[in-house]
Amino acid sequence: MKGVAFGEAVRATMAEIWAHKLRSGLTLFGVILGTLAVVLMVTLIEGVKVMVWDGIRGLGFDGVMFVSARPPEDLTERKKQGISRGLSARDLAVVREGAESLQAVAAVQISERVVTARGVARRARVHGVTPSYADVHDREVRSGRWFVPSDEEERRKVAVLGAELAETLFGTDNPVGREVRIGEALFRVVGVQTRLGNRFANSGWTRREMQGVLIPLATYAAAVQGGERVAILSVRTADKENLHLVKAEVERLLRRAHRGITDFEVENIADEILRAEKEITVLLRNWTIVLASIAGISLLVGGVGIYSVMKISLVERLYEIGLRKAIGATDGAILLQFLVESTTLSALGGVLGCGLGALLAALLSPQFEAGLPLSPLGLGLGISFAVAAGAFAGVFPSLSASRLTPVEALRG
Amino acid sequence: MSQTPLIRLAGVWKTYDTGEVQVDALRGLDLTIGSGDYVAIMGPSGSGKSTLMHILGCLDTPTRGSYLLDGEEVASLSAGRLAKLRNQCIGFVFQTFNLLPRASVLRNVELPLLYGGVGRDERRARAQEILDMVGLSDRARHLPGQLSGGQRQRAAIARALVTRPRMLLADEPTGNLDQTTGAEVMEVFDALNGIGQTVILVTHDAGVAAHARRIVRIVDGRVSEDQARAA
Repeated sequence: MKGVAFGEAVRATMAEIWAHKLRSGLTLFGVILGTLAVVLMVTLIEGVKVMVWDGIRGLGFDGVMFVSARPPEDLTERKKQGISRGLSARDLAVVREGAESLQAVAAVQISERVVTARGVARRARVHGVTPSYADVHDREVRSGRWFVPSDEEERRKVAVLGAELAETLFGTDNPVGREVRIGEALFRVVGVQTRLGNRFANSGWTRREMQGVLIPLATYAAAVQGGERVAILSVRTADKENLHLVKAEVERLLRRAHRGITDFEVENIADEILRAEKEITVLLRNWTIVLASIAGISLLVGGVGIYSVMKISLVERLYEIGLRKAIGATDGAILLQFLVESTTLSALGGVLGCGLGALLAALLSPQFEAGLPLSPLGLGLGISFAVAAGAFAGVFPSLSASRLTPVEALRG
Repeated sequence: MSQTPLIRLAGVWKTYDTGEVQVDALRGLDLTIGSGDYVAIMGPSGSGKSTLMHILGCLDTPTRGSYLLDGEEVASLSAGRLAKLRNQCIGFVFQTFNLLPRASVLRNVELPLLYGGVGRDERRARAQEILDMVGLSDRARHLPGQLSGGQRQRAAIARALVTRPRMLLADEPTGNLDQTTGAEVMEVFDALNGIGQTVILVTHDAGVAAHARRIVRIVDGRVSEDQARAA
C-alpha cells in the first residue's frame, strides 16, 4: 500500500510541477540560489584552506628553529663575551652530533650584494648555505641541480637562483649554465629554485630568498665575505610534540660549546607556525559558519517560497483532495502526496543549485593554484538543507490538507 | 433481501454551525435501503438531499442519530476504516464528473484500486475490463479534457464501479449533460441495477427519477414521501 501510494504521489507531483512550469520555476529559484550559495561558500573555504596549507608547507618551516648570533643579555656574560668563539660553522657539528632529535642542520651566512646578469643589475640577498639547507627547508630546484658536497669542498663558484631573481635577470630563458656576477666574482648558475609559499602564505625570509641567490657556504667565505662566523644555524626536528625540549637541548649544547656564554638566540619558528595554523583553523571554521549561515538564510527564503506555493496549490486543489478522499485516499496518502510534492520541488532546486555550483567552481578554478574541487561537504550540506527546507515547509500545508473531511474539501 | 438491510438511517440530524447561525440540513431523517435497490432521492434545493447523499457516502458524518451500513455503526469507525469503506463499499459519481485532469482515463479509473493497495497488473486488468463495460476501452489513454461530457461521466462511473462496491451513489449524474447523453448515462445505471447493483441517485429531474424503482422525496430534512414503483 505504502509503496503504491508513494508511486502515485511522485507521478502526481511530476504532473503538477510540469503543469505549473513558471510557478515551479520561480519557487525553485530561491532554493537554487540558496543551495548554490551553500555549495559555493563551502567549496571556496575548502579551496582557500588547501591553498593556505599548501602555502605554509611550501615555506619549509615545518619543525624548524633558527639559531642566530646576538650579544648576551646578561651583563656579566657580556663582559667576558670574548671567551666565546661566537656562532660559527663549527657549531653545525656540535648540534648535529649532540642532539638526537634533529633531522637536519644547516648553516647560513647572508649579506646584500649587487647581482648582475646580461646587463641587468639587482641588489639581492646572497645566502651562503651548506648543502643540508635543502634538507632542513625542503628546498627543491625547478631546473638544474642543487649543491653537492664537492661544490663545498672545492669552493666552486656555482649558484642557485631564487625563483623571482631568475625571472628578473633572465626572463623566460633558462638561466642554468649561464653566468651571473655576485659583487666582484663570476658564478655559474647550476639551478633555479621553485617558488616558496603562495599568495595565502609567505614570510619575509622566503620572499627575500626567492628574490636572492644561494651559493655554497665555503665559496661564500672565499669569494664574498671571509671568516668562520655564520648568521644563522637552521635546525629541523621531527619531534614536533616537544619543540620546547628540543629548543632547550640546542641551547644547552651551544652554551657549552660557547663556554657558557649565551651569545645566540633560538627562535622557535615551528612553534610559531603551529600557533598560526591553529589560529587559521579557527578563523576558517568561523568563516565557514558565518558564510554557511548567510547561505542558509537564502535557503530559508527558498523554504518560505515553497511554503507559500504549497499553500496556494492546496487551496487550488481542495476539490482534488476531496475527490481523492471520496474514492478512498487515507489522510496518510494525502499527507504523503503533498510532502512528496514539496520535497521533490526542493530536491530538484537542490540538484540544480549543486549543478550551478559545480559550473561556477569550474569557472573560478583557474584562480586557485591547486584548483577548486567541488567540496563533498558543501554538496552534502546544500542538498540536505534544500530537502530539509522543502520537507519542513511542506509539513504544515500537507498536514492541514490531509485532515480535511471529504465534504469540506469538495466544497472548497 | 438479507436480514440486515444495506442501509438503515434512524433519526439522523445534520447541523451546520456557521458561527452565528445553526442550520439543520437533516432533521431526524429515517430511511432504509436494501441491497439491489434502485432509489431516486428528490427534493427542492435546500431540502437536504445532497447532505443525505454525503452522509450515505461516508463523506460526512451525522451530528446525531444512527447510520448503520451493512449493520455497522458508521459513527464508531476510525478515519482509516472510513477511508477503506469509501474505497471498497461505496462508488461515488459526482455531477461534475471529477476526473483528475492530468491523468489518463485509465489512471483515473485505476486510482481507487491504487488506494486500495491492489497490485499493478490486477489494477490494469480490472480497469480495462470496467472501461470495456462502459464502452470506453478505446479512450483509455486519453486525458479527460479530450473526452465528451457523456464519455467523461461514463469514465467517472467506471471509476466508481472498479472496486466492485456494495452501492453506487450518484449526485445529479445527468445535471451537466444534454438530453441525449443524459439518457445514455441513465441506460448504464439501468443496466447495472439489472445485474443486481444497488444504485442510489439524487436528482430533481422527474424524467431521471422515472428510471428508479423507488422514489424518496425529501422536504425540510425529512422524508416526506416514499413511493415504490412498478418495475
